[in-house]
Amino acid sequence: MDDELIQLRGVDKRFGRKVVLDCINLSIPEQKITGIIGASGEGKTTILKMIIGFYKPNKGDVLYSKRTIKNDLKNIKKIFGFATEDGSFHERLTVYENLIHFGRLHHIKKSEIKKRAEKLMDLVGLREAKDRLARDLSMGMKKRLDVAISLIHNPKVLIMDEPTADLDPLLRDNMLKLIKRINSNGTTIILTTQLLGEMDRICDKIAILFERKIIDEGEPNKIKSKYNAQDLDGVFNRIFSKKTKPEDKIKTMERQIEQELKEEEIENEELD
Amino acid sequence: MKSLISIVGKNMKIISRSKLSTFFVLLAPLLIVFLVGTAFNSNSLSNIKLGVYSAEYNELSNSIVTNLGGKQFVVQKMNSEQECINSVKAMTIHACIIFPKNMSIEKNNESIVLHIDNSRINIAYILINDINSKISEKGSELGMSMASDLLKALQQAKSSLPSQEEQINSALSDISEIQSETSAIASQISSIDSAITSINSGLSSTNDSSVESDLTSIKTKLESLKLGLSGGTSAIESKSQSGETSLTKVSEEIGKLIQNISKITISTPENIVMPIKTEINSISKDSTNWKNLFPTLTALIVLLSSIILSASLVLDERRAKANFRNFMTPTSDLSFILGTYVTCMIILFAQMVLLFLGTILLTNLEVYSVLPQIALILFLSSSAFIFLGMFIGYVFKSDETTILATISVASLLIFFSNTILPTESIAGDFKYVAMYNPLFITDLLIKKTILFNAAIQSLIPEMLVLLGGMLLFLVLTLFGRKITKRKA
Repeated sequence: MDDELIQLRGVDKRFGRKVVLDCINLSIPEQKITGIIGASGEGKTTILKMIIGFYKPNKGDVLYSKRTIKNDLKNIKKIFGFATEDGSFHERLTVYENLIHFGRLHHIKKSEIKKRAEKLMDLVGLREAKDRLARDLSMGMKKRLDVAISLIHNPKVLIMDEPTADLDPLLRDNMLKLIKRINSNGTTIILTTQLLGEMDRICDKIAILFERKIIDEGEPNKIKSKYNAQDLDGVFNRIFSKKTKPEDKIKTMERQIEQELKEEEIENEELD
Repeated sequence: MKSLISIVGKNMKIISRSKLSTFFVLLAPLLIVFLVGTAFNSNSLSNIKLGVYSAEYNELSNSIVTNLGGKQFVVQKMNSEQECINSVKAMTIHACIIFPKNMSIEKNNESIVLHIDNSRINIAYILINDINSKISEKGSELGMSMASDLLKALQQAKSSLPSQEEQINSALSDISEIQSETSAIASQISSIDSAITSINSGLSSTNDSSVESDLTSIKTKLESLKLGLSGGTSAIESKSQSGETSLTKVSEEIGKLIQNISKITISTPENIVMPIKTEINSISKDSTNWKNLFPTLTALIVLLSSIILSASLVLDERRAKANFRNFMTPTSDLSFILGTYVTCMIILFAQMVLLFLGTILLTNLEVYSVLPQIALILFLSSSAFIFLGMFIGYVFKSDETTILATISVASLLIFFSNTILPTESIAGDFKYVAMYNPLFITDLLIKKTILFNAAIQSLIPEMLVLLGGMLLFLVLTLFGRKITKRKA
């Protein structure tokens, strides 16, 4: 337990009256790759955004190095990097300009930013696209740009939301290799994906999010043997079929879609 | 500071990489202003359609109708009074003028009736004034002719009366001579009496019957002469006295008349028709319509550019994929706000430079001496409007609501300033609220500076109000960002 870097303790999250996460308990080990598995709309992204303090829990606490993050948001921003599912950068800036811009927003020295930008472009394989506008990049390149920007301030923890979504198998493979490479530098990685085979390949720890709760967590092999499954897809199928009757499965799927829509609706209402 | 520069640089790159947005952001407001400025660079209304009707036109009414026609008014004769009024209601004509049947200046109770649509408040009074002045021109023309005749008659009387008075005086002196002659004749009558007395004594002393008969005949004749003379002189005396009295009275009246006429100093018909003249002097020297319009147009550019640009920049920032990453950086909210603010200021500065350069080159507007004041006013007002726009951008999320809110706020500011209607026409306490409208203050300050070369010290109270507005909107913007930044 000593290597636990991040802890979620009894975390609840509601959007309006809708409960999205219910008493989440989760530990993230340092310098490891932790994957959060869950069906679409289960609240995986919400967990990630709570870890960095973007969403505040309605109940419970998120701890980093045993200290609550809500009182230390400024430092947390230096510690965490976040690669989003859709990419979070300026479409009308070039690859290089994006890296420099976000480096400056992280208060890094100009000379240092340039060095890091060059290094990161090599790491993610975007050297050739240095002067191309972000909007002109392919989906895979955009994902890699987002990862590069997330690493510009040398974060201790890199959070990746669906890093392999919308990528073809070759690009997916490249992305997984990249994640491994980043982790090999000592960066703690938390990621979510719906492609469970990938989790099996790269994750040191798996957490299973089902019906608003973390129902299991541990090393992939242990989880697989616990559920007597050959791979994580098998684990997921067992959990899904064991917990729900066929008609409930449809209801669960409907609920997930409904929840996703409501989540979006609530957010929009709050904004307007 | 470095992050602020980076945000500004990023904003400028993003704006400059879209040619269309660069055009709209930088040149469109200026283009609009030059078009508006050129189109409205006239002091009077033009192409105003007037309907006229009279049951029977005559020379006078026709001459007024002719006088109305010209560059400013297009006159159309209507078939009936009702048709004329209905055309005003249908807005096919601006005003309807009804002339009396066989209009005549002798009939005092006749008047020309003007039907006007008062709901068009922005031109109704200008129209009334312009039509009235056109009709008055004819009235004055007629008045001048009558006054001229009057003055001529008076002048004639003034020149002929003294000679009449002289003639009367000469007649009076003649009467006086007659009277003295009559007195002489009366004194002569007593000598006839003494002659008669001598004849009487002669009669008593003579015995000669023929002498006596002659003397008696002479005496009779003398007595008859005396009687005739006495009667004649008394009649002359009485007539001459009454004639003298009458002529004296006439002479006195003529004297008074001459005195009164000489008291009349009016020598020209204009003095009778328009005894009081008004002269309008503009207190802003060498003022042209463009120069008068320029402060308001500048204030409008500052308002619209600042509020729309800042609101759209904030909205773009909030909707951008990169917004979430902004949250992930330790850069403060204030830096992001100032980044957008400085970006807007740079663009506005460029717009103002273009506007002033263009205006100076095209219209010879002299603003060099007041440039520091102008710069300070524009800095304060654009800051206030930028923060207001940013606040709107933070509070509303969708394009539609933000645009609607921006237009509503801008319209509200425009309506509660002197731009469309005078603030004096605003009812009740709203009038006092309007005094704190940043647009109203900006317009006022630029006018004072450009038209009257006001010193900076005299502008301080209004500038403080602008500064207050700027700080208030900055606080609101910070608050708006705080409450919405997690809702990207």
